[in-house]
Amino acid sequence: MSWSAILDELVRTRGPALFGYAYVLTGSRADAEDLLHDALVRTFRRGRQARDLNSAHSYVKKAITTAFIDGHRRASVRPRRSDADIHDLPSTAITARDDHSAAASGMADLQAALLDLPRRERACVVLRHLEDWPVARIAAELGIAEGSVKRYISDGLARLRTTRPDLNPIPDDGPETVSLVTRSGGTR
Amino acid sequence: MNTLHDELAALRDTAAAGFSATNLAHSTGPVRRRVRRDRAVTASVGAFAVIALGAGTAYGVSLGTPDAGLAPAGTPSTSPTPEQTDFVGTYAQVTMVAGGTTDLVAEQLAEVFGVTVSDARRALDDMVTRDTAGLVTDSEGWIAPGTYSISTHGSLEEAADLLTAGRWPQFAELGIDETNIETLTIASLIEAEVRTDGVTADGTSYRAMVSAVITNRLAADMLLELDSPLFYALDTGGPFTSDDQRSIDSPYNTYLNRVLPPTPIGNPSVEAIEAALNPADTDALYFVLLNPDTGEMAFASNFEEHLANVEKLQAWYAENGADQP
Repeated sequence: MSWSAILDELVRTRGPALFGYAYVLTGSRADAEDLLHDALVRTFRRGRQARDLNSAHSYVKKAITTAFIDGHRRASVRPRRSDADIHDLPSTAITARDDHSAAASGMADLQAALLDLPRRERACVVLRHLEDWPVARIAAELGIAEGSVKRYISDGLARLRTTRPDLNPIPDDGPETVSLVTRSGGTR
Repeated sequence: MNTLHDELAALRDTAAAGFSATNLAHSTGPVRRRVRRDRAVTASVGAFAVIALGAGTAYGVSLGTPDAGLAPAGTPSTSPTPEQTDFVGTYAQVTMVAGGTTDLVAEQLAEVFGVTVSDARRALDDMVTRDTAGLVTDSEGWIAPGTYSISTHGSLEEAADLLTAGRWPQFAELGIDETNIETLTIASLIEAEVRTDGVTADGTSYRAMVSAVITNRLAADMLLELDSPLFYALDTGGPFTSDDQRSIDSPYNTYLNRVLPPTPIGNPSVEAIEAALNPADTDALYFVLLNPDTGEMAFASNFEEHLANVEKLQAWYAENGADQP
């Protein structure tokens, strides 16, 4: 398959999940699309990473994550799309912060709390608890020491709990950070 | 739905359902165009090419002409000038000449982005560190020679990304990877030592000959005794090095260290990289520039021959009134 065929197939079949992942990190659809767009360019322009659908997929995910973590300086000089927020979900950060009343806003509260986390903490929490990556893999893919990954996850979860004390990170593991981060399997 | 995983998954899936409304879901055209442009950097090696990084293309602004960013090497473009409406902002040209050091582009980047040269250099180093997963942490050698058009409205990181992207397709084509990455260092030495496309009497290129001398000396556990890495370390020019200079304590001093310098000493052309990969079949262990005007070189496989060649160079300097070594 040519690189452009792999690109189209990737966007068609994995686009929604990758976009959703980028959205969880950024909290904005426009930012998520930019992030995914840049990650696709990064992945396909060097050939090597885009040999097949699966390797391209994992490289795109990695590129999204590293660009997100490194992106704070870049973000300030980016041209913004004027209609950036038109299609945003009702549960974006702004909306969520204004709505603390109903139980139904729990997810919005979670998102708001997530978006308050520093980027590295946010990325580590999402990779560990949404993507079910083991700590060792997060450390390897992001080029951070395992100890730092554990600290980011534990600090991030502690902060999330101040907003959502009811939140149980992983049902079969208790609240102990140590047991959370040493699990090697996933919850799926 | 009260676990973190479930709630994050719900968040992701809600957003994922909206993917079909994005520009990206509608067309991968803008991604393809940016990929083609970045890949086209390969074409710039040893020639003059302009790679346009259109900041606007990343944000759903449509392109007037597909692949408008690539201008043919060194000649006026005969194709219609593309409409520039697809680009946001203005462009600055950054040039790397074959054999130039990375600081050459760092200085240009510093001017464009209003940062210090060391900040610009760090951005380039960081990009190479990221792309090689830490195997290489120095961007010396990693800028493919050519002229790059960078958007002044983009970020320094984007410019650094563009400038360091051109090596990858070259490496893929030539077969350079983490197992033989020192090829780039050898190529940078060849680039610094050979100034012409000259060939020996039997038609072997000077570059391949110098490559063979380097390979043969390393294999024989000899000192490389090259001036070019020393000039790099001292940030000076030639043509000769003094005894004082040859005794400095530096990993780039190949008069004292029996190994290659720790990094490339400049950004080699693809011709030099090819020569580094394919040394000539010769037992030569010495080379000298015979005529600095024409770039004529002489090679020798023993010290006596080499001394005779050095005398010829000294004779040239005597005749041409330049300082004696």
